[in-house]
Amino acid sequence: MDLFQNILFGFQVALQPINLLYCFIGVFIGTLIGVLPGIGPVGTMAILFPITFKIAPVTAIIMLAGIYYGAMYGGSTTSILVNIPGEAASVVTCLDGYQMARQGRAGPALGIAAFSSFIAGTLSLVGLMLLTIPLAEAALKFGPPEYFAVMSLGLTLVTYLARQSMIKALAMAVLGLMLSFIGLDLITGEPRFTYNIPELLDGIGVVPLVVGVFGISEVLVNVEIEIQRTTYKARISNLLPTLQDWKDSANPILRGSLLGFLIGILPGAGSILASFASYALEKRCSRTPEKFGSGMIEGVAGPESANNSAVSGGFIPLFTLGIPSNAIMALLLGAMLIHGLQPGPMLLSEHPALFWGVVASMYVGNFMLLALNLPLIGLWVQVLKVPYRILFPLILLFCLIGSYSLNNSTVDVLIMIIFGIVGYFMRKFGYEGAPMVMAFILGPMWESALRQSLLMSKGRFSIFLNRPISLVAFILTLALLLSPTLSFIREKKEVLKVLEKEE
Amino acid sequence: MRTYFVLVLLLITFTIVPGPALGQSDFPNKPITVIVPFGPGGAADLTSRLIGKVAEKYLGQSVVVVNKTGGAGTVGTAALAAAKPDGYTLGTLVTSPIMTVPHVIKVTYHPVKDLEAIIQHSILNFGVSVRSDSPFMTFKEIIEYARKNPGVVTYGTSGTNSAQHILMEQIAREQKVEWIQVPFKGGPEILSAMMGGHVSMAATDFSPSLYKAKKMRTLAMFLNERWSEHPDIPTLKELGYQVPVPYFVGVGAPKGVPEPIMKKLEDSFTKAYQDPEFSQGMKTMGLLPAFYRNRKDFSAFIAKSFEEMGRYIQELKK
Repeated sequence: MDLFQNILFGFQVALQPINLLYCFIGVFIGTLIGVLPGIGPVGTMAILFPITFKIAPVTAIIMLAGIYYGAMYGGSTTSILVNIPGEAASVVTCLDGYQMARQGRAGPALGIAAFSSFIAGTLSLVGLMLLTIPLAEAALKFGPPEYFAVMSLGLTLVTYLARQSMIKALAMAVLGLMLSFIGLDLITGEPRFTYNIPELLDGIGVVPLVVGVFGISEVLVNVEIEIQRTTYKARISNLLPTLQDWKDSANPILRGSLLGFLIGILPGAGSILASFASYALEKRCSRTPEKFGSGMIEGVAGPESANNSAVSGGFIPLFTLGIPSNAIMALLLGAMLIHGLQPGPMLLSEHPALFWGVVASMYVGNFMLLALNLPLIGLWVQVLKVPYRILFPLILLFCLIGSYSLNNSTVDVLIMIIFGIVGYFMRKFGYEGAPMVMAFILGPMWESALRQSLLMSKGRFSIFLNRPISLVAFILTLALLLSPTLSFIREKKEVLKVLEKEE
Repeated sequence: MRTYFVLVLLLITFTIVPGPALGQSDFPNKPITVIVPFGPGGAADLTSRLIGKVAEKYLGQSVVVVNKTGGAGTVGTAALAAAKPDGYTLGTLVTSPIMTVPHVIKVTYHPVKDLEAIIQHSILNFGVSVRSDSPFMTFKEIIEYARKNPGVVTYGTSGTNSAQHILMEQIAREQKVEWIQVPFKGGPEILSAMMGGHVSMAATDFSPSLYKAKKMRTLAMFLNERWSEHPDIPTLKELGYQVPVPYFVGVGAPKGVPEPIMKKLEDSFTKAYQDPEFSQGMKTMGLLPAFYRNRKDFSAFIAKSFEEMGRYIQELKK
């Protein structure tokens, strides 16, 4: 009953005209920057940050949150249409989304991306309303040993991102790990591979890396093969997912929503990791994993759900403990502090209007996004008809602006260009970017968690086995690593049996 | 003919008007940029935005904050040191890129020789905190426990060679105890680890919300005097630990800004500091204690602390 009243109260706040207006502004800007490759929510929210001084705190948070989850909706658009992720969290959407578009199914791909974002957004908000407090407590149980175990599990999932050669995929994962070593060594405080470039002390940024490897390289590759594109341009069929598409997507959406929500709660992980993990999970669950990468709708529905529900999950540590789980949450924390609102254990009782108002506004915002994005599909599909000689210079421009705006740094722009060239050669030689990006994101957390754990245990590895969560994660990791070997042996045995019978 | 006349008139007006602008008497005649070396939303950023906003009243120009992050704050500080010394580019001076990082890593600026302090307006709010169900009620109890059980107590910091790490190890040296640092990526991660019971204590930013909700207990603050917002928390100094307090957030400029402009800037920011709008804003955010040092004192303090921290870091390496 109490909960019901709180929800009603939340909607009273969210449906005030001023909040509705800012919610719409937020999701609209979010969709836009999501669509534009390179320009992401962090840079945009930083630019709009001063506005929050002038408007009421609830309104400000509603707008900023709208930008964040709006960007997750928009991010898939360019992934699907031109194989360039609009957002780092939409990298895996390229894998199958773009293939769908090449088969003339850009409409259903965009449609399922919007619907799964909507469903995941709604489901995760239910989680946010019901489970905020217990989940916040549970998340604290994750110390360095648990992180190390879960990150190890994540690294084994990298193998599911391979589309062609497993060896090449593993090589790229190792390269990703190596790139993640660049920067200040957290434990000793010494710089590693920074060559006295101060910008490298914090490591290479995810956004310049992703925009370079996926965005710039795609443009470069297409400069060569412009003519071939006409082949699939004419075959854009229906704009919405079919019944069969829905059947295929239902479970991935549910799994993606749950997984994304849980990953979102963990500090440092966020939407990018959620989308990668969901893709790997779908491939693992699928009866036809070999078809992934050739335009499976599951490969779009799962990750697009996961990156959206991770956004809601990320609010839990902020609202309940005042602990921001990523740069965007830190910005939201700042926006609340300016107005004297201390996010933390007392927020729900002291400022119920803020918590319930923002949560309710996210429901409203999700509806707006669906209403905004579905009619746009027809328009986006038209983008495919824009000649590449006009489209690609524009994409390049946005990539440049986006990577600069992140830290106001030209070094980021250089990094992006270098990785663009690296990405070009990777494509030429059949090396895939996704395993590299996933390992690159996991690497720093994996390494520091291992070394923090060993500091805690004075160098004893037993710390990973003495703690239940980490033990379970390690058993799962082992199972994942061994299962292909077992099925390999089983197949061989069956072959032997057949041979024996024949004799 | 008439058009020419108008054009000539316009030309004359435009050449005359900017004339005095070249002098220093009407400084500032365009917006002032403040480079914050950390991301938006953090303590250094929020206090810089606040003092900048209040100072607009006294400068008569708008103050624009630009976040230039990276390199543990050294990228933004280097950009400040390299800026044109005309008074239009200022920056936020914060502890780590000035006091500690340059001792460990090669940077392009000298924190004392290439930068000029204007005023200090706040102190960072570092302290030692434990979870509310921790057996340790006072800082002394932790020291006693660590003395009896060497290498058992762990504390989280935001990185090796951060000022908190150096101060904690300095205390350990003085008290002849041994405790283990577990470095994390930043305040939020340390607080999570402390709240989850993964480290014995956190040497990091004070969290007003966790403290007020009695989820954590802060045993001591790295301050010279008690914080008026939380007068019940003792300082390390009064507990008898002779460690310096190298924490500050202030406004600075690249070296070489003409004296009249520096004077004008110091006056304006000092007036902003004294303005009730600033103190009210600081109170509302509840983030950092306000603390004032004028140009002379702030410069002397930076020079002295820089040398002192350098000595500590050298000692730690031994």
